[in-house]
Amino acid sequence: MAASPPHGSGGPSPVAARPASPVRELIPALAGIAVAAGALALAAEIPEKAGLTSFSPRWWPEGLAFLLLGLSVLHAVLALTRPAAAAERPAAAHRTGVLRLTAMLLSILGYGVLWYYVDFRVSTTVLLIALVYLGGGRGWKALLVFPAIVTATLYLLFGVLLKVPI
Amino acid sequence: MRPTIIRTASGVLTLAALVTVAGCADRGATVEDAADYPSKDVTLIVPYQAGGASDLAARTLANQMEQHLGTNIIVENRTGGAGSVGLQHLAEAHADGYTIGYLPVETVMLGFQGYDIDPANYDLIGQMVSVPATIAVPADSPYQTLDDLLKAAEEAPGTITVSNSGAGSIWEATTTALGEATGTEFKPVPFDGGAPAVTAAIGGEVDAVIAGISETAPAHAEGQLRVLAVFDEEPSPSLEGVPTAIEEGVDLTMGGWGGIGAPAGLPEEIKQTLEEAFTAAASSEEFTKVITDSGNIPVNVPADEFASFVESEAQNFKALLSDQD
Amino acid sequence: MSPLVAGFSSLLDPTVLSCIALGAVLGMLVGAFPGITATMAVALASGFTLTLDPLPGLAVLLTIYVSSNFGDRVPAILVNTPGTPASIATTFDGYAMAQQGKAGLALTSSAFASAVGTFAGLLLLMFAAIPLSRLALQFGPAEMFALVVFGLTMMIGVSGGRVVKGLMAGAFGLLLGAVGRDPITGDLRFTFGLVELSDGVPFIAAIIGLFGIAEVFDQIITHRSGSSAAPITQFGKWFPTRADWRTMLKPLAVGSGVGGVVGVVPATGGDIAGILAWDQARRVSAHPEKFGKGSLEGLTAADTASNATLGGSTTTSLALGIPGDSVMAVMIGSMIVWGIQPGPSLFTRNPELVYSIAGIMIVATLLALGLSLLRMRSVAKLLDLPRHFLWTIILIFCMVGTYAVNNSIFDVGVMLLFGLVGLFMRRFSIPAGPVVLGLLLGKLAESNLRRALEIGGVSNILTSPIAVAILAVSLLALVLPALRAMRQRRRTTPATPVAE
Repeated sequence: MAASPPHGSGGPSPVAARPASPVRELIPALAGIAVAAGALALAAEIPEKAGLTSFSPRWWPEGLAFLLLGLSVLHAVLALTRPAAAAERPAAAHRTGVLRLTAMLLSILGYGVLWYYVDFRVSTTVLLIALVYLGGGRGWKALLVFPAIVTATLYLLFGVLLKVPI
Repeated sequence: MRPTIIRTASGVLTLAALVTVAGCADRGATVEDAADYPSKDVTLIVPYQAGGASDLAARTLANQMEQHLGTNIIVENRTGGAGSVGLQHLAEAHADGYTIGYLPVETVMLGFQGYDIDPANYDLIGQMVSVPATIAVPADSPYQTLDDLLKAAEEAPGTITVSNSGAGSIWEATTTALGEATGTEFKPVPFDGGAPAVTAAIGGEVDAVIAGISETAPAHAEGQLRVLAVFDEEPSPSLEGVPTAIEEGVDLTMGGWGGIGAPAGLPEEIKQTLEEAFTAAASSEEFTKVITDSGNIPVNVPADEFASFVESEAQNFKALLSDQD
Repeated sequence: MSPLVAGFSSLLDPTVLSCIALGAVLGMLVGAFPGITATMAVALASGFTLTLDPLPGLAVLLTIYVSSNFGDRVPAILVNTPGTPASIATTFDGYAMAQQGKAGLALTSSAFASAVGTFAGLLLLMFAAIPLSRLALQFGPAEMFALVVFGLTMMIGVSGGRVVKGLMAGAFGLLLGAVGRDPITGDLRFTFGLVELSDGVPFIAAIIGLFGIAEVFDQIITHRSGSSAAPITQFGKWFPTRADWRTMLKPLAVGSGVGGVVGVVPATGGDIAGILAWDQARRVSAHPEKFGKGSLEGLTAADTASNATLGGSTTTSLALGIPGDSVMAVMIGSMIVWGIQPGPSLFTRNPELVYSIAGIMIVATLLALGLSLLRMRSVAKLLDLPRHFLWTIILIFCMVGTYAVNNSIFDVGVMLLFGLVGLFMRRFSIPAGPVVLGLLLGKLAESNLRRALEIGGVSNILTSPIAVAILAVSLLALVLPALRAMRQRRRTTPATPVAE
């Protein structure tokens, strides 16, 4: 995935060749600037120990932060000045999808809490029911049998065989 | 077709139900009477990765302790934060004897290195392994004795490079302590682990290496390194002909160690049971053989003696690590 | 009887053979589950194998080691989640192939490439171990730093044509690599007071998040309830044709070479080798533009190289007694307890054992290859499941698997967070490969540079012929493609906008 656009050209996901809007391209640049600024602020708190080394422990992270800052600015400039090339853009997200993801993440958070109080086998079954439901699965097979099988598999593999404290 | 699916499905559901019920059942039995101890599995927390020397010592001891306690001991590796994640987890566990842990030398060091670790948070059961520090030079090094190396350091303080397993490690502390004890200064070079530090010395990248005996003795035997001294009370059988630092005129004994501890506040009866199982396990032939074969030194230090040793170690490191900053 | 024959024939013992079979199945399984790595499996198994005799014990451990490097390709290709870090580069082209309906071909060619890579590495172990181990000793901090710089030049390659964004991602990854204890002074940096971060960002959690979880998140937000097409409904042909084999030849050679060298160097393993070989194969390929978009060559080079490191790191471990990678560190511990002392004299004292070890790994490779070809069809069926099942399975297995690495909920949180970071990067077409490369190499770069400077200042680096040579090659790797591109641009229409 890393080196390719998010969807292979022959893949079933529709890839729209829309012109990349320069304003949209500013968002990654701003994110980069924010990360770099945060890193610079945090790097200033690294204690400078004298004596042990002639090179400060700060210069590596600070150098990287400046590099990121410079690249982000360069990206912003390029996005604004270059004529927008028709770049492959990922398939559009839509509102129901984002809501679905948010709901799934919230149920995973709830799972983290539940796991603390209730046995792994119970909490995991509950989470799986929630995830399948949110993903669009309906019916007793999807909502009961599937979570039970997956939970039992996980428990046998990790809890019994690998002795992971779950 | 259809009946088969239903039959399979109901079978799976029954299985899941059974698994669930069984799970709830063993959760219910948490209230314990000390007289029944141990009535369920004991967890042994190791603050380092599975497969390392500490893990090996802990697991081998656990195998032997199981037989004396008559229960399972499940080893749980909780790594991270130079060992502080696992140690913190142990300190916060219930002091009911069902969670015990492996305590390394870092237990008394981390508190002085910015971590929230205090040896007073643990009830000590016993010490079972000792890893004396050694100092070694490349096979073709001009330094034949510890004295040669010290003289070179005196002539140009802070230029003799000594590799160690990492920043803040016991071996780096030993390097500092050696400098302080002899009124000179070395340049510690931290690596990412004991093996790379030893490799750097074999390859002649550094002037010397300070590492545990199990890491330098094999290379000494192969003729890749020359161990100049052992920082222990007595010479080691695995390093024949190598003197102790004391014999060489440097009054310094230092090294890693490992013991077993529990969260502070263990009921007396349970502590007694654990101590008995520990002593029997640490003196067993199986345990001593595995530890000896791995190149370290099996010991069997009872709880009270271990406690006063930890106390004195804490004092030493307080002096050594606090004046570094 | 020659040591080779003696070493190989000692494997005919039925106990040893059944131990190999057991290890192969275990290894395939742990490889296929994201989170559980070969290191973990070998470390856990070593607790049991210490009670066995050395040869059956080694058979279990080595076979897990080998076969987990086959199993981990399956999730990398099918769901974009590396089963172990060694298959990071497999996702680059493997997943793209699967999306194009070529999952079958990707799975089998990956298995063949992995087998060829393993054999190439084992040849090194059997016939060149001692000279290679001398080479390994030459790699001090200065040389390691130079090698890492060479690795960092790959960032441009894995950016997939979006160079500025790729470098931004790379700088971000390098910054992430600076989280944790300072390698020289031991001070805590960027940890936000979290003790869990003091050993750095948990690597496995981060890569599972950036690749697998980000892909699932992306599908969740883009999936339309109307369209029910599963991501991979067809597998296409399974076995490479004669023409496919011909295109695989060059990447097989590149991968074997890169993997062998990287494997011999201590502390570097299959993850780095895979990415390096992928980029080298791209440079020599007739179709570099296909890399990252489902290139059979890219997949082959990555998988060959990451498995060729097995022989290389076994060589370093046996011939120097220095662990070539983290699995070998565990294995050396077991060997010492068995009374087998790895080191240069092992090859003169006990040459049969070296051949036995190589023999075990050969049998393990054949078995793992066989299992890979057999099992594929049924494993691949998994992907015919409706989306809601597939998403749920990937999420829960990644969560529990990541938890199991350190028994840490914190790691699971990191994984989900990186899933969101990865999702953000996808939405804005920022490549994830450079982040991983930065995470992987950042710590090595900084610590070795500073160590080299501690030992002997700048001259320590400039007086090492190996370091200077590698640095020169790195410079060429950066400059040559840029020059070539410029000349080409001048020749063609000057107004063509450069793809960003």
